Amino acid sequence: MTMIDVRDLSLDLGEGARRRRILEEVSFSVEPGQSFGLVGESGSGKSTVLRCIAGLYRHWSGRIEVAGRAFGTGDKLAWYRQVQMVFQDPYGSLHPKHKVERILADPLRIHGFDEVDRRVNRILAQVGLGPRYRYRYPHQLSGGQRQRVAIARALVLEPKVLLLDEPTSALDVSIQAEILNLFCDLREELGLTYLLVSHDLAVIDHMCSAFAVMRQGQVVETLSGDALEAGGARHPYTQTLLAASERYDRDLATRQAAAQI
Amino acid sequence: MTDTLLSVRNLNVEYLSSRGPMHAVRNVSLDLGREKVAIVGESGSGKSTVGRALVRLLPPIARITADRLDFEGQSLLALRDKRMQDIRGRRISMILQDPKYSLNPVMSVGEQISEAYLAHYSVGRAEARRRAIEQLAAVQIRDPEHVYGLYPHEVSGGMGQRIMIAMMLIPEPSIIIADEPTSALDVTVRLQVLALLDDLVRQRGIGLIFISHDLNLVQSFCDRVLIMYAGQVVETLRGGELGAARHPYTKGLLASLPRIGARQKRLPVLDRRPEWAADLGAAS
Amino acid sequence: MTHTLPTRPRSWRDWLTTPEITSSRQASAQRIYWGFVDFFGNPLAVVGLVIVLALIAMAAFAPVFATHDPIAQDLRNALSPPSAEHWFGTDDLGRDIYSRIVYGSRITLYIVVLVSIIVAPIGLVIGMASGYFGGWVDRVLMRVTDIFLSFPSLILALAFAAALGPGLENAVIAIALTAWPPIARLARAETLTVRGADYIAAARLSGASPLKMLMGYILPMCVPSVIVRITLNMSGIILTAASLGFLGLGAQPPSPEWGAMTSAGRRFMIDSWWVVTMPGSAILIVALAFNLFGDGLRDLFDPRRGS
Repeated sequence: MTMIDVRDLSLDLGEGARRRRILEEVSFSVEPGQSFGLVGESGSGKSTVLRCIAGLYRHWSGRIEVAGRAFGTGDKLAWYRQVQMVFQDPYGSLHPKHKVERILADPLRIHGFDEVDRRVNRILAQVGLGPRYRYRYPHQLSGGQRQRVAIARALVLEPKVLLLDEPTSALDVSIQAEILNLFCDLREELGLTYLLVSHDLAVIDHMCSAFAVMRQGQVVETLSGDALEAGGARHPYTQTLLAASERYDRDLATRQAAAQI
Repeated sequence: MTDTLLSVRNLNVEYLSSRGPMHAVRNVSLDLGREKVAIVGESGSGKSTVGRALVRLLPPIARITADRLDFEGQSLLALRDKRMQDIRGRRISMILQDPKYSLNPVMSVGEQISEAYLAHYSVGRAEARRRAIEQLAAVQIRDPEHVYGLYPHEVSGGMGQRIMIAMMLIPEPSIIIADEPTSALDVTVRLQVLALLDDLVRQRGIGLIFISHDLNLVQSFCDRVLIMYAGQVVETLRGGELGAARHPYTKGLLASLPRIGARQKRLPVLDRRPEWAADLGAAS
Repeated sequence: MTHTLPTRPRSWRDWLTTPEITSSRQASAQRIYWGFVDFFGNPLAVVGLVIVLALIAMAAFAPVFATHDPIAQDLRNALSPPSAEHWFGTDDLGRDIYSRIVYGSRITLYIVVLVSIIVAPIGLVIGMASGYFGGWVDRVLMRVTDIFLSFPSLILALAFAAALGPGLENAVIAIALTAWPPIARLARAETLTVRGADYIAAARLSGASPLKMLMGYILPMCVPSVIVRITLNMSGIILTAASLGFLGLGAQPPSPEWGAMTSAGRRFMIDSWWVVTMPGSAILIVALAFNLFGDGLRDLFDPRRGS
């Protein structure tokens, strides 16, 4: 049984003449315990896919299933208990006027968990922050610390699936390494399934065993990490992305410009 | 490469805030010829501050001092603000990260270029418009006539940056300071914009200071790379020779980058040593 | 709930400034403390605060501050200039102007506080609901807001006076009914800005109900600008009340309401300048004080002031 199953996901935005197709028949599936990537540039729709799966967008067509249960059947709270999200901007994903404790305890209280205190302490320890961070406000934390709190919040409800929307793009390189390692450790420890969105092929290759390349709302190619290294990228867009990610190459730029004419 | 456009010795920037002085840049020295030099660092390293200090674009609470800050043989330190204004934007240009914030949202992009032209040269409006379209073509924008009439929110990030570059080139500067010019751009677009900068710098003999956090990018793009940490330059490398890095910070930073094809389970984490921030002292 | 304290804090000051925070109360207390420190770094705002506090003190201890009975008439001493006995002189009925101003501060404060208490919740609720739910809720509420916004407060007050009779309470209601629309628009604007933030999306993902979102997540972001706006509006409220008093619609004689005093004093402006100038200056000073105080609050709540 797959953990995440997305089939023919389509989404339009806007009315009448300004109607735009944001997602076009996106399909992929993720096995339990796997880390799957969605890579693409701006406008590819990769973040939109995440938001559809999270339940933040509702007006899509197609089919989304997590752990065998289709979206829309069953109650909303149960869905949120399975699927949680970590956002890109650590400065925007924590409420500026809530202390860390409240940020972590609120979801627990909404879902009626017991032993809120013990759980908060435990999750803080699991993301590498001690109890001394409980009473801090977000502006008193560094970028990396904020992201850890965001991860803690996502995990506090004990979901099976984590949707990661460019979780390290706004962080310094050295902090990125720490957070990526944290993700790896947590996945092993808690048996999580990841769906990771990024524009950075290196991050995707490091974190994911397989990934889908998206462009302008469509899945262009799906690859496993091994295939990527073995030069198995078929679609020219994937190859371009790969080459451009490695280094600046004057000749590559010329070829690219020529190809677009 | 024989003529030095910019010569800096022991540049220091201190912020005098109510909570005590903050030494943002310590004893930074560099010489810039007709080449591409990168200043690389993480947030808080002082790299952006250096770029702005060179053209005195810092808030009044910043105190800029240096043993030497010469541009084309002339000292910038002693210059009055009015003279500095002439140089800034005219002889030394700056390109910032996000064109959305640098372009005036209520004017068409073509008009903004024309305005920049009129500000520096006394020509008629029709002539300025013609030159603006020429500049748009020079930065490889297809259909410059059409793009002339577009507004900033109607152009993509890559095109916006090209437009910024077009504007910066009009007064024919000797030096361009680019502060993270491609960080907000997609990877494929980034290549194009960098190629454009590359060509322009080579053809017009401009000196380029490229400020970035992306070590991999600058090593393949620039001739020299200065690595900054806690306000100081801790290492200088030639482009393409990052493997020869000696300072533990540089090596640690390089090691912690994920790479395509590297099969590692965990990324090595940078172990910040307090001695890296220790004062290296002034250069002679 | 046990916490181990790393070190025993030595004094209140330690407790308020240490980065080692061991309780929720301490975190909140520190936040307030630093707020005070920053506020007191702004001299004009402090001036405003001092004057406002003086106003409150004067209202609370009016019998102590006043030198005479504010409504006692003394026709022999009518229109006498400021002197040792009557610090601000007397009006046309021989009443001591200084004491009337002191007692009038109660009325001023009463108006300002009452209007604010009515206006803030109404504006917040309507604005937040409008911004959060959007759609037809937004349209309907904003049209209602527009209707109220288009009434000049004076005209509405006149309407109320006609309907309910003149009096202070009716004047307050009239002012409140025209003062809430800008607050609603402000709250709506803040809500719209906040609505797209990631932390709101995260709150939705944790299952928060719309009510919880509004009260716990959106309200805290709207409150600062609303507080600042109301404080800045207070000067306007005082002036409107003064205008109503001017027209005889607010506090009725012999109530020492500042606006009414200014109005009555117009007749004697040329020869007995103090009858108009003293209450007029009081209005000016208090209005200015609220403005300065509000500016200081705004700087305090500015999110860019950070760690």
